[in-house]
Amino acid sequence: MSRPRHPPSLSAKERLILELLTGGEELYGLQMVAASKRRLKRGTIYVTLGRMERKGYLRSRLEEAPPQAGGLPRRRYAVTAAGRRLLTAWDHVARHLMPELAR
Amino acid sequence: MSRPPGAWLRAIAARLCGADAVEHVIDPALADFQIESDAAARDGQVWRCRRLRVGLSIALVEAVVACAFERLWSAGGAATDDEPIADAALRTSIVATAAAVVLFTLPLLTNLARVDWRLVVLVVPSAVPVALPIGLTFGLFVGRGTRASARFTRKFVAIAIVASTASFVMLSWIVPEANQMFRERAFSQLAPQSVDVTAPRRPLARGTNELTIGMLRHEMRADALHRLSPATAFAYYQRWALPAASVVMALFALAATGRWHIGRFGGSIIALSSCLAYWLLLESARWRALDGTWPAAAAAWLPNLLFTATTVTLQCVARAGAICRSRSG
Repeated sequence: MSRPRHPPSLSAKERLILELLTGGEELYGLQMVAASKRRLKRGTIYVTLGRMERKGYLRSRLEEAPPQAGGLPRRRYAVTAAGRRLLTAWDHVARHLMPELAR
Repeated sequence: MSRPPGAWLRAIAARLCGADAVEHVIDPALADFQIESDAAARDGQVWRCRRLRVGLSIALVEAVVACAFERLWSAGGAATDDEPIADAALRTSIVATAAAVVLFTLPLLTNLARVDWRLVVLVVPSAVPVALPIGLTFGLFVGRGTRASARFTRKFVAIAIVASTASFVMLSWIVPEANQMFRERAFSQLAPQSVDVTAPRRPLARGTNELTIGMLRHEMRADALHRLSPATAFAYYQRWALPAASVVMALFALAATGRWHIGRFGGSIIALSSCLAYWLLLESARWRALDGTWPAAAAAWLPNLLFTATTVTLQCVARAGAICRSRSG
């Protein structure tokens, strides 16, 4: 397998999602929108979550389908080890390059 | 039995975005909203339920558009490492096109000082067909700046074809009508007090820039019969040649950036020089056509032909180099 030519990237939204999920709890999309105080948008969060899952930063599982007809099972997301490492590395780099921005 | 909310959007998404996007993007959104909305309905929160359904529709439309765009962008295979290059090239193209539109519109705006500023809407279309090839050239030279895959090339050729088609439609019908409308409106605002602009009158006579492509063809034939100046003929052929510039310049930029590793600064210099060269060739050819030295059609197409010849030469040299390398390797 060829090595990627670019280092893994992390957008502001992706970083926020990783931060929300590092608490260890599995969250679903609307929960993350509410927890982010509307910094994440309902229309784009699912696209971002799908992309992050493809990149290997997140994993997801389906809950039991609700009993009513036509009900779809909810998808809950959790951070992977790779996602956790990326967030740590990202924070580390940010602290060293821009100490004024580090929390 | 009624369909669950969002079912029709899910069906559209399945067509536009593919099964994977439906499973990982559309279905999670649908499930979250359905469960929240059902809970609100059970609690008798009618308005919250309605708000959630509206929110679901908006969220799904946004998600479908985003997925469709992502799918279009990564058409032909999985995401690859040249996506950031493609994004940068597209972004640079859009910014350069917008900048060129502003640059070409500003000089025209000086004439708007005495008329309603809202007439600027009628001036902008004239700048777009010129700005599109400039934007694409800058986007590819500055945004790409290095080698990229065949998929990237195919995408930009497709974008250039769309830009060329849009330019042709604008130059042939939209720009002439917008120009004429601008003249009529400006006349009614600038006419001296003694002229009653509300009185019925004949519309202003159209100049060459206000003639649609059909009218221009008619005028050209009439001029040819009476052996008049070839200005109309040149304008007619230019309406065909200028839209093709988007494809011609994009192919040239793709061939040049595929041949050499060009940095952003070098790329911007080459892009600027290429656009200036195109303009100088077009202007000199126009004078040759107007004094009857060259046929109008050949003069209008000259810059496109020369840039196409350069592109073909670059491709042949690149192919010959690749063959030599494979034989020696």
